[in-house]
Parts: sequence; structure tokens; C-alpha cells
Amino acid sequence: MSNLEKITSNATIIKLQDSVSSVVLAEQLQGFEKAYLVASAAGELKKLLNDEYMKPIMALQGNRLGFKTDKDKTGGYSLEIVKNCLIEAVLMGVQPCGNQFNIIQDNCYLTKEGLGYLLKKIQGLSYDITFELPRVNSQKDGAAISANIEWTLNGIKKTKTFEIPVKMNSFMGTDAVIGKATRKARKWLYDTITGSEIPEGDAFDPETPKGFNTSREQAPETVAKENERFALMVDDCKTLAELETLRDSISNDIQNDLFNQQLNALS
Amino acid sequence: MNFDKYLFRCSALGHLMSDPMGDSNFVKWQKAAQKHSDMIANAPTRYNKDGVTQSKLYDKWLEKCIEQTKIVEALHAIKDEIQLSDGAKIHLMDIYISEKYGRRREIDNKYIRKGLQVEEDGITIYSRIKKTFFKKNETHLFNAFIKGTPDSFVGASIGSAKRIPDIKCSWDMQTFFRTFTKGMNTLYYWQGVGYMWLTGALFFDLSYCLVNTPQPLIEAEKRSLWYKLGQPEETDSVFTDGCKQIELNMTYDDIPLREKMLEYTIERNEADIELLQKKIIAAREYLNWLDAEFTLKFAA
Repeated sequence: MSNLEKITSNATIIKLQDSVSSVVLAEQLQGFEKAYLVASAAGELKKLLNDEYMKPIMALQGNRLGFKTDKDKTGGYSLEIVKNCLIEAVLMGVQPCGNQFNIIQDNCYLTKEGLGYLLKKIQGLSYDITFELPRVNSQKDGAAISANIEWTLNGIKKTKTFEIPVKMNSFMGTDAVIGKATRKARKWLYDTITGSEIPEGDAFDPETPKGFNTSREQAPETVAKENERFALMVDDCKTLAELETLRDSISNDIQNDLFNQQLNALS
Repeated sequence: MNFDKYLFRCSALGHLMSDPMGDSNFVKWQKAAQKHSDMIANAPTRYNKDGVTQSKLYDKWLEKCIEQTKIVEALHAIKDEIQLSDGAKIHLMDIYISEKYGRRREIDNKYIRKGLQVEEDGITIYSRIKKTFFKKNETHLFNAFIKGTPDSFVGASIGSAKRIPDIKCSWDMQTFFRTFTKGMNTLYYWQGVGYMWLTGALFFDLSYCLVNTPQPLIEAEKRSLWYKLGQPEETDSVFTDGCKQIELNMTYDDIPLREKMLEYTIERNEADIELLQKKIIAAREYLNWLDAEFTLKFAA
């Protein structure tokens, strides 16, 4: 039986969902009562999410079907950190899939998709966010964008127009600026309606620590050069121990084949 | 225009950090204070022989001493002020022109072209010698003062790097080996300080690598020789011998791998980072001053 089958077929999944629901659905609780409930649910989830159950979750790391992280290009986060962030995310009410949360600098952050999901769950709420074209500054490292939010909650209609500042990098286009502004606008709306405070940031937000920007997709010639480098380094290995030090660097099938060829030659 | 938040490139920080010609305000203050102390130590006798009238010599000394006190006080007030060198001001003028008018001087020469074209080959030499697979970092970093893209990093991520390797591919064997006596140049030193500041790394490893020159650049050298020799026949022995020498000078397949890299390391130093911040604040003020001056000038 595969891990996925196990997770969907046995009673643990029900227990997991119960723990999450006990917090997410207890909107009326406040203060110590709420804190106690969150602490108990987090403890329960930590116990239930053992290594076996975490395996399929770990496979969701690094893609938009699951959740993105700022370490996607360097192998991702450890099971322990993913588990903590996952617990935090589900207790905030989002799903572990569909890029609803990201992991940045070991912490969990809700994305625009996550905030969209939370807003969708608020009964009696409908909303519309529109933007004007972003105004990019002369240094091209920031933009301001005017957002207009119209929402109706339980029949009461409200509107709000405000300026959203967005930090940029040289690789960002208008769509990316609007994407960031969407998150900020949704966050503002969610915070306003619920009175809660969702932490800032997502994995591709240059406002996150030290202003990290996402890298461009690797050019084919770069990949070719890396493969050439890998081939030379594999060839330099005269012992299995030396070769083993390169295993973690394998990043594509060509490198995998080169590694295995040398492994066979040295064995 | 406002340059209060202007971010300086790590690769150009060295331009800001050069010292102004002559003594700094601090040294001037030290020298003036020393002169003042010497004057006091060598004070003439106050009274003439009659013991009542004040000597003219003393009057003159007193006048000079008061003057020197004023100089010391004036220098004391500015001794810690950050000064920008003429070179730094020229660099800032270039930044101003680039920001205001979008005109920038693109520096392009054969040395830079080779550096860019063989960047990945440099990383390969470095990786093979270090026996660690390095990849070119594509993540652009910035903080409130500076920005930059380190070549690569050692550590779990660029944000938690332990060391920052930076690879410079020398033009030829002569420039490669000359680094041994020259060490790390100022521009690279401050680039390293900047990268360590951005990443939190404790070390910056600058490695000069000896990489084969790309064939188009070798051909360009041969063409240049052909013109220099007055466009001789291609079979001309002086020309063909010259071409052979160019090939030999610019390719290094016969050189052992270990002899193709010279590495220099600097350690993180918070005082340097603090000085960088001060210089950047002074540089931003200078850029704002430039803008105000030109706005005023062109408005007239």
C-alpha cells in the first residue's frame, strides 16, 4: 500500500482533520481558551504527522500544486520545518496544496492564493478588487499601484481605494506587480473583515529578508556548462568516497547517468 | 530627484571607498593639535628683563597660539566627517547622469569580454580544485544600501551563506601571476565586503583563474597582429610565428589544474561595513547636492 493510499484510507486522516477543524471552526473563542485550543491541536497534529504521513507532503514541496519555498533550488526544507509550517498553515485555515502557503526563512507565510481561499470561506462575502496600471519609479526597484476594493458582507456594501507600494526587481513585469498587490489587497480585506493580522510576505516577495529576488530560469547553455563541469568532476573522482560527495549535486538526468557510469566503473 | 534610497552596486563600492588626496580631516586635526602642543611646550619667557613689561616675542607667540587654537577647534569639528575622494565624486557624477538622463558609459574591452564569456569555465576550475560542485548564483540581493549578485556561495542558501567565492578569469598568464604580488585590488576588496554584508557570510574568497581564451578573441588578437605587421601574406613566417605564440599565450591545457587558480581570502569585518554605510550616506548626500545644484543652474 502506498503512502498516499494509507493516508487517505485510515482513520488518522480523520483525526488530522478533526484537530484542524477544532481550531479553524472555533471563531467565537478568544484569549486563553483559543490559545489552549491552538496549542492542543498543534501538539496533536505534531504527533499524528509522523515521518510516514509526511512523505507525500514533502513531495508537494517546491511546486505550485503543493507549496513553494525560498529553498526550492537548493533542495528544500527539512521534514521538521515543513511539518511546523504545515501545522501553522492548516491552523490558519489554508490547504496544504495549491500554493496557499510558502515557507520563507523557516517560517510559514500565506500567499495570495491562500488569502483568496480564506476570503472565499467567509460566508456572505463577495468582493471585487481592481487595479490601475502600476507606476514604476525611475530606479525600477519599486512601484505604486492604486487598488479599489468593493465588498459586500451580509448585504452591507463597502468600498476602499488606497495606494499599495510594491518592491520590484529588474526581472519583474506589470503582471508580477499586480500579483503582489493582489496579495496585499486581499490581506487588507481579510484583516479588516476578521480583525486578525496575517503575517506579511510570500516566497517571491522582494520585501522578505534581505530582498531576495527569484532567479530566472536557467538558460540551456548554462545547463550544458554545468553538465560539462559535472562530467569533469565525476571523471576526477578516483574513489567511491570521492564520487559520493557529488551525489547531492545531481540536478538532472544527464548528471545522474554520468554519476552512475562512474559508479559502475569504480565499483 | 532624490537619492536617499539609492542602492550602490557591490562591484563599484571601491570607487566610493578610495581616500581623498592629501591628509584627511582627521590627520589634519592630529597634526594641528600636535603643532599646538609643541607651541605651548616652547613658549617664550613672558616678561622682559625688568620683570614687569611683557616681551614682544611673547605677544607674537600668544597671537599665533590663539590662531592655532582656532584651527584645532575648527578641524576638531569636522575631523570625523566622511570625505569623498575626487575619484568617488567622478563616479557619483556618472551615476547622476545615468539616473537622470539614462546615458551610461558601457565599459567594453577584450578583458571584460573574456571575463564574461568564460565565467562558467572559471567556476568549473574552481569546483574541480575545491572538489565541490558550484553553480552560478542568479539571485540578486539587496539591502537598504547596496545591491549585488555574488558568483556563488558556500552554505545552505545564499541568504545563509558561510563563504562567498568570487571568480575572476585573468586575461593571460602574466596578469594571473601578477595577482600574487599585488594581492586583492581595492575594488574587489570592497566588492567582497559588500557581498559579505548582503549574505551574512564570514569570508570572501577571491579566486583568479586561468581559463582558455575563447577562439573568437584569439582570432581577434591574430587579426590585430596582422594589421600591426602591415597586412603581410598569411604564410609570412613572422606572422605565423606570432600566431603560434598567441595560441600558446592564450590557452592553458598543458598547465596542471592546481596551478590554474590563485585564491585570496578576506574575513568579515564589521568596521568596514560601518565605514561603507557612512560613505554611502555621504555619497547619497553628494548626489542630492548635485541634483540641487544642476536644478538651480538649469532653472536660471
